[in-house]
Amino acid sequence: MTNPISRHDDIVTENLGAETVVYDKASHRAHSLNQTVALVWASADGQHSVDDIGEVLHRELGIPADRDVVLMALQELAQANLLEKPAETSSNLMTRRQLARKLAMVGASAAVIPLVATVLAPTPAMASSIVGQPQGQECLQEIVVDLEKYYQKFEDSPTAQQDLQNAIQAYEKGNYNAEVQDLDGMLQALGLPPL
Amino acid sequence: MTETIAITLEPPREAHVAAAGERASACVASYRAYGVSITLRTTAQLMAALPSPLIPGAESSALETNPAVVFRFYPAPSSAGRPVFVVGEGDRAIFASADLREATRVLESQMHLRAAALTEQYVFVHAGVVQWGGRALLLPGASHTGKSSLVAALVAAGAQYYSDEYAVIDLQGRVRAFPRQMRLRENGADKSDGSDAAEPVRASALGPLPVGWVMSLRFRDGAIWSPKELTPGQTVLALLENTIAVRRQSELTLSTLKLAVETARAWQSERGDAAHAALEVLRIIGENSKIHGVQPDVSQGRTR
Repeated sequence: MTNPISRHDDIVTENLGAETVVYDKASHRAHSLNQTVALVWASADGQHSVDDIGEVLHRELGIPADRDVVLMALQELAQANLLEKPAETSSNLMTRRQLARKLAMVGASAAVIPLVATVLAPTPAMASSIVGQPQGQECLQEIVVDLEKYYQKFEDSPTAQQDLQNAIQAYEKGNYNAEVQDLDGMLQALGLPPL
Repeated sequence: MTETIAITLEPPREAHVAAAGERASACVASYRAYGVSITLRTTAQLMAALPSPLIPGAESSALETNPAVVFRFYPAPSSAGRPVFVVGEGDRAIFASADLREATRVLESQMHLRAAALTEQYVFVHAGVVQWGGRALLLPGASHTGKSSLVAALVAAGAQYYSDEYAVIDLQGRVRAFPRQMRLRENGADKSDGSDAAEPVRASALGPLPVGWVMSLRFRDGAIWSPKELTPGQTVLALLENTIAVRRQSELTLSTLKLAVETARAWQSERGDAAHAALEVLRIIGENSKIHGVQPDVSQGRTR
């Protein structure tokens, strides 16, 4: 049987009381390790066996030294990809419910059941507020082409600028007929067909 | 036909505006926003149509020769002949709409997002923020998840508006105001009429606050209010899940969020109606305020 080793490459951590928050720069996932898992993660250095780590939990949490608790914590860590090397063991893993029952029988709090909560860090695109974009990429490219053709013309045309300003003011006042007329005026100044 | 026009413009109040040569309509505004230099190139006419402040908490600055990001906002006729307002970033058009207000809001949001993504002096979390009892109440959540309606309901109940978009957390873990005009939506559509619910206040007029509470609430029609208290670690995850620059600045984000949650308590729940949820949020706060040694005046939302 080999001893487990926790992963530390591309990892950022912060301790919050008994918990540890881990940010994985490789997967851009953040994990909150409860106290039990945090202790197992900190103890999994390749030098300590599952039984050794069970003793650590006994000492720190006051629960009986129990391989099943350690193995469940290691499974949680493995699922979060926070182990460099898992423990090789022939032991069967208990279900969470079985472990909860077992710990309850010795008077341990449910809070010591190994738990890892995980979230995915957002990308800037996920954070963007752009919704309901009415134009597809193809259409936007057409606009860019149009800009190259017409924007200089717009900048050089006081009439087009004035009409646009009038259109904006009409829009803000809710006078949409005037807005359309002024926008048509702008288009005319640019040599384009009306709306 | 040659016309002489006199454009009377109210200059943007928080930006340096310069006429570009003889083209009186061309306008360049330069901002220093949370340590990030942002330039906006637009027309004077469109500049006048933009909200003020365009970036809450930003300062005017001299024109930057090498800004971190350049936005463009200009009118253009589309190939279909219908005029559109185009938002560009760098040399790339990122949005276009015939609806000026919609295009304006996208420009505003994108400028905010860039400041949030590039700053190294603050951590921006997508969250509604109000002040209650001298502390910040954070409502983390992505866009279009009902933050604004809940913030509005809390303000109606006496809380002080700080933001309906971002919690701006400084490196000491305190929350700064980001008071853009509040945006309310109905069935996904913007229902603001331009006179928006909450008048913006200058960010500098609102002091930094310690975080008192974090409420991670998800809207679901008909949801039953069932709050579950979060541990500090889970609270950090609830904020981190909505932090703009965490991928780029994971160390800074984690250390700052750790400081922010040190003084906070947090709950999560599904919620339904915003007004009902606001009352439930304030009830929880009222029941748990003494733990901080602060006696908030829950009837006023102000510290005694």
